[in-house]
Amino acid sequence: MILMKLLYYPGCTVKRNALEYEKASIAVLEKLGIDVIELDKWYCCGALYSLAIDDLIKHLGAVRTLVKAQVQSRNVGTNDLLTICPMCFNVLKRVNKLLLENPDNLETISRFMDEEEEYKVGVNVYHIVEILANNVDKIKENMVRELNGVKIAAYYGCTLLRPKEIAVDDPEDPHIIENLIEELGGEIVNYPFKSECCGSYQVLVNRDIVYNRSSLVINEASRRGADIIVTVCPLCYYNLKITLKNMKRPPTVRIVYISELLAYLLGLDTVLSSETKSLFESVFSHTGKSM
Amino acid sequence: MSEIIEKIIAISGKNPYLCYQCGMCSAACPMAEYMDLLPHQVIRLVQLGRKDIDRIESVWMCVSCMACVDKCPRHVDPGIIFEAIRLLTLRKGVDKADYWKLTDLEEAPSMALVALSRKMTG
Amino acid sequence: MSSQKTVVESSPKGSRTVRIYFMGKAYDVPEGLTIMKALEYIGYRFIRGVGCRGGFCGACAVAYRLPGEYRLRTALACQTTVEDGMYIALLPYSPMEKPKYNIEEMKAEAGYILKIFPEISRCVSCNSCTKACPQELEVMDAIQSILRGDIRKAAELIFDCISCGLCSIRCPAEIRHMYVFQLVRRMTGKYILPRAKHLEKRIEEIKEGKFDAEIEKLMKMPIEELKRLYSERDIEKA
Repeated sequence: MILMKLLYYPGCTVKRNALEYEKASIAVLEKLGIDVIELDKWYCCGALYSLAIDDLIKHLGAVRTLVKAQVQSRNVGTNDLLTICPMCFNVLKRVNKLLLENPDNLETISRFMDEEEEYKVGVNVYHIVEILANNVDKIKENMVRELNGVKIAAYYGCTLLRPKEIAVDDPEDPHIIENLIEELGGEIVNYPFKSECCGSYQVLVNRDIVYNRSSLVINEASRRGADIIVTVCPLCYYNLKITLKNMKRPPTVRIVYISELLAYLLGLDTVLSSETKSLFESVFSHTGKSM
Repeated sequence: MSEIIEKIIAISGKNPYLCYQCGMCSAACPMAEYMDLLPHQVIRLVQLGRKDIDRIESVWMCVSCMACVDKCPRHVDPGIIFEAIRLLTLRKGVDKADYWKLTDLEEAPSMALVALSRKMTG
Repeated sequence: MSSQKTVVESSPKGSRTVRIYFMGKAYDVPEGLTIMKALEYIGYRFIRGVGCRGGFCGACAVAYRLPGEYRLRTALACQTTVEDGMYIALLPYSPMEKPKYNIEEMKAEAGYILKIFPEISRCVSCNSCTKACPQELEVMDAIQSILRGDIRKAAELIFDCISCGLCSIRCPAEIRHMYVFQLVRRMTGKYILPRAKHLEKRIEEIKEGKFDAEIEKLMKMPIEELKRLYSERDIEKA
């Protein structure tokens, strides 16, 4: 039974480097009765929202995508657009806000993109974390595995929480993922670095910056007993993983996408890679406490 | 006000004169340890009308994490002012990242390269 | 390009003419000529920026504007008919150095393309490339497909690219489409598309000498006999 429909914007990175995140995310949502429909046409959002107020060209990719979502929303019957990459979420939501508050900018962009229909600022942009948080009961209903005392730390990164205007939760002390995990019977690890920057694109320029930044997150979460760190961002995931690999004596904590954890709990093993599945099996068995 | 400062204000839409040097931005900034001038110090130079502000190297370490924007009590938003300072150079067609010196282009997620290109190439 | 004789400012009696502007001068040329023919009519001789004259080689890229319009249009000179008031400029190529790479050391993955052409990540989806393309290809979609790692889709979209360079001239991100697309097509042909088994089989047969005797015979045949064989060959009826 389909309870809800969502248009879906993957973003370049998901299609190239994080297909496992997409697979797990779509499977989890579909299990909850949510129909996920990928946009027929979409464009690179640009990763970082352009902060200049005097030029508009860098918003074009995002606006074109929103227009395509607008077009498709009429056939599909929903204006809600799902993203799983938080950089895409950040850009799309901020562009939406900019166009809503600045009709002049919207007009200029519409005139330039005269081959597209005019964007009416009606698409709602969501990140998967918000959808999951709103459907906790459905997740609980469909769980086939228990969290069994596995200690989970959530790593949010930057773009999901800042700036405040588009944040999915309080940037200082977010709890949306922790609340979800606790509702599912899990044990969360709270630590101060959950929204500290992982190093972002410095991974291409100066990897040491990433190693320094990401090890703060890994070491503290691990020191407080985390078995798993769940992430929501392909770049954070990559940066945390390479940092772990680079450590001389790495802690035993493992990095996974939140959707992969939920897919495992919901018994959707076929969407997980064998590596991820055995990762979960070993973590869950080692911490087995009788419930 | 010097022309260059006027330009920064026009590009960013922010008011650097609101800054009262509390230092919250510098405390929050994840890249502060890699900068020779801290974010609040750069804003001070903007206030003082420093003519060679576009040659400050600190602005290029910023990764737009928006921690400073989040914390600033007066909405000075150094991260946004930094973008304006960067654009003074980028809009002349100057690149501040050397594509040929980047590592790991084959494996790293696309968003890293796209973000870097938006930030550092003009 | 050199001008061999004085510019012709009038055209044959009785013909209808259109006014075109080139190199700061106005000319009246017979209507119905292509831009290339019109420029030759007024006395210019192409020694560069000309090729097949059939819309296929991409050598004769031009830009022009029409009166009363702000749009900057791009086209192939050999394929575009002159219009009254047309203001023409020649753009025979878009400058770019051919990158050196070894296709054998690559895989059909976006990472290898981005390594050689990192400027692809600067694409802002402005669509200037698609608007410039004389073959009406979906250039922006092709570049976006590469960013997404869908090499095959990119290759399919730009299969008919004639490497005229007009997209690259207009691109604000300064992407080198011509060589990007060449690499995309090479990767697709080498690593993605299925191999033509009948071709491989035929090559084997040739190597085994299956056709040697027949070729020998043809090579020794007198010309009259060859001509007869040719005119009496099997032709499939329409």
